Amino acid sequence: MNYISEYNYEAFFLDYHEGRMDETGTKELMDFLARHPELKHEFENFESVSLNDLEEIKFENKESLKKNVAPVNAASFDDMAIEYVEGNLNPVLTEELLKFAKQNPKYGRELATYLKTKLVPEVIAFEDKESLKRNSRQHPVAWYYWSAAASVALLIGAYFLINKSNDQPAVNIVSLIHKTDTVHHATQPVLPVTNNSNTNTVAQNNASAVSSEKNAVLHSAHHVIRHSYNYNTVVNISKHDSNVAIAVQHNTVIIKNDSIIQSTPNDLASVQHPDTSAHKIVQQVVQNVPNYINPDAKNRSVFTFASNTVKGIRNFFKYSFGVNRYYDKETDKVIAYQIVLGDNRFNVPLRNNSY
Amino acid sequence: MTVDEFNGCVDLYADNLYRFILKNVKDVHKAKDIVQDTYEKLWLKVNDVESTNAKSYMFTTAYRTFIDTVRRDKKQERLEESHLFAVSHTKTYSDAKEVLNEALNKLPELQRTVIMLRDYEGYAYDEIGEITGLNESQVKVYIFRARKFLKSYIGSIEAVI
Repeated sequence: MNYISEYNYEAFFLDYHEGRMDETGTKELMDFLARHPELKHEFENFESVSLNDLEEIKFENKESLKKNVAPVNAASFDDMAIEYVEGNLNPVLTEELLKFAKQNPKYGRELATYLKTKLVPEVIAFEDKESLKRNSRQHPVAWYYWSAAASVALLIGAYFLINKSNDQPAVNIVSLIHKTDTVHHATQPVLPVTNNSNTNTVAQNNASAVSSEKNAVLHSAHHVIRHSYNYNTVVNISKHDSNVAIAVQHNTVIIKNDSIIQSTPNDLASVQHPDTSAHKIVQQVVQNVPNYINPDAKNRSVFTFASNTVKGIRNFFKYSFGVNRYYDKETDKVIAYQIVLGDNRFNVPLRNNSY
Repeated sequence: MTVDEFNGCVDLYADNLYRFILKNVKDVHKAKDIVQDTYEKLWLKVNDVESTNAKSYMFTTAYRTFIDTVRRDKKQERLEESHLFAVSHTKTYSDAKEVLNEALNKLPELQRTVIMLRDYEGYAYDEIGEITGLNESQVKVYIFRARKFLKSYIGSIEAVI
């Protein structure tokens, strides 16, 4: 070490106070202090701030600063119990909790109750799981569409196959009520026509007499003979097994083969009287049903088939849509189509008609 | 997810899903509808959802469908915890399980949901959060409240019995 001087005496003071100074060094330090009495006060103060003195400084009432370090107590019991039920408590705290619960019967009972809050899985089976399963990776919605399209194609194909081998279809019996039938007491139109510039025209047609009612088409599969899409409901014809029922102006006439076998209610006279239009209609049906000859049968059957298919699809999707036809009362030609979309109906007249 | 994995999900989770929804919606037909709807939705996503995530996806979907149903029907009873002490004890209970079921039905919807996902399905807090749209802390809070409610309810019933 260098000689002690006024520039480095602090290091010597430190060595002296920390007991790291030998006798020679101590003698030199004392000689230095004798030569520099102004540093003697600093030397003594240096001595007075020894860290050893701090140990004697006490903070009274330390206990007041201490916390209750017990891990489980009344205040923390609920948290600890729930953590225990949840399975989140470590082994040490678990032991403390159980010990606390054992020492305090009240909390012991509460802990037992907490344990009861753990739900035990019940066996509730979902029946018919097979209905949820799939057999292919095909997109389900696409599958519906493809199924519907395939069904339509298949049925159309089947239809043409059947009709090709049967010039006189066994399942489609068509009866005509000729336009010469002059029934003039038609009353209420069936179809409210809206949303089209041709509304008035169609309405007029609807209000026309039943002389236009010549499209009596009988479908054995649906037991409906006549579709009254666009005309008055004066005549309703349906098939029941081998019988044909004709409802004319609130009377129902049941025909078997070519004879009237029943009429309800009791107003048979109006049907039987040769001058009444009802009688004429019945007679026309009676005469034509056995023959079921209609040159337009195939086309109408296609339409009817398509209509029924649309109905099926409509029911499937639970949305109302479809297409109806309008016939010219004189020529018996289709003059317009009506498109049904939900509550809206759109009439589409054909160009080659004056309609 | 393959078709086999999808069908495997039916075997593995249909019962759990049905139980989860039935306990919430309390209507057999609605619960079945929601389960079927959930599997329909899974099927639509069959190419996107991994089989390992299927269960979580289905519970999430079913839960949201259930919530939509509740909001639509507006029939869901919400009983606040403060109603606990107004509970009538005139009913007789045959066993602790019945008491617990009764208490479960009294829980607010969200608390019931999280505690069922926790106890029935064994989901972790973060997974429950994903299903219900809550964060982990909220899930813990709801579970904590649910257990306190159940414990108080069971305790009050036991005291009467």
